[in-house]
Amino acid sequence: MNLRKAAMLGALGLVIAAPAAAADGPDLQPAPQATIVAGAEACLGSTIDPSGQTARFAGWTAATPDQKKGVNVDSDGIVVHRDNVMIAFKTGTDGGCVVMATAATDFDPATFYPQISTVVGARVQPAETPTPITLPDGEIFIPVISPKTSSAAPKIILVFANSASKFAKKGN
Amino acid sequence: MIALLAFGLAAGSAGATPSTYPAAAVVDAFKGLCGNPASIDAIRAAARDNGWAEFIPAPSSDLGKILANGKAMASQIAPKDAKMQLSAFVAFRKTVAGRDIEATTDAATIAASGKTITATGCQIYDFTARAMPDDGALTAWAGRAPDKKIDTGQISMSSWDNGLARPISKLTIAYTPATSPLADPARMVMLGLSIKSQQFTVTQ
Repeated sequence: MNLRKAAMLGALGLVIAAPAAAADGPDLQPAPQATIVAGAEACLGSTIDPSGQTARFAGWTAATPDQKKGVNVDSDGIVVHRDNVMIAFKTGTDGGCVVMATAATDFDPATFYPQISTVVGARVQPAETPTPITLPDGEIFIPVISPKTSSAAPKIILVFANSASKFAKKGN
Repeated sequence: MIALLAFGLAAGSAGATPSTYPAAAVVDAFKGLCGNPASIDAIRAAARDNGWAEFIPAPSSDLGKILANGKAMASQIAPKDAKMQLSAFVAFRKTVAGRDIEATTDAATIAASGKTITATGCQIYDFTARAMPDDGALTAWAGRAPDKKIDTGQISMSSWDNGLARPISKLTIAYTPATSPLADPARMVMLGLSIKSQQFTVTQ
């Protein structure tokens, strides 16, 4: 993955695309849309609700070092995966949660955006430029979805951060 | 291991299968305590109105271990994140349809950048439940089917996010068997039946 998401993720202080080796982030195989949406559901509340962490990430598995290639996480950050979807998260005011996936052929923007909107409790729609969306739980959500082309599947990064974080304050 | 086996025997003698489990009565008790988790004070008032007794669980009890885990998490977060506070680990109990139901509250607050974000949680447990009960009573109260259902063997869970016709931001019912890593006595976070409501609020 390219674009400014490396900077965006770096700004979160959570996940930073490893230099050189992973300008494109982790090497992810195609993932079903349902799991990508489930990843967003797991992330929601990560920064504000550490006590709910166990329930949120039930069904997700700790990533192996090999799976984490291309992702650097703070020492107290956690990386999990399921069905080729990877999530890195860290609780707390300046924590965050990032869902990373390459969409499989079942990806359909006509259903994906409504599904994500339902999960996060705010309207999410396609945008030329990644736009922060304030969520009802006080988090901010930034979807970064590259368009599908004839030669490439859509790359999806869903970023959750706390709206009270120092990074969000800078952004505002 | 011995403790696990001992617990397993105790749970086996007191358990109820899904078909005999008094799910409706337990959900009613949950609604009475956790129906509006606006604040710890609100939950305490609901407890008084609905026959729940506040108590201090023994450290060696299942609820005592869960509370200790929550407090340990709070003490870990405090030095790293001065803006976030985890607090209000209060315990309640009530006998419902002959079963000992216990409950905890928790509250996470972030105060920074001119706003305060609060997540208040209220959770009841039936530690001796032997299976995931039918979630129909909770579904009826939520007003719609769960947004997510999972069954991994380590945990069975139904959850609802956002848009509930209740003052609740998130609602979860889960069953965790005693053999699950989540029920490891050394760092227990869930065991048996648990139902949790949470309310997230943001004030400027």
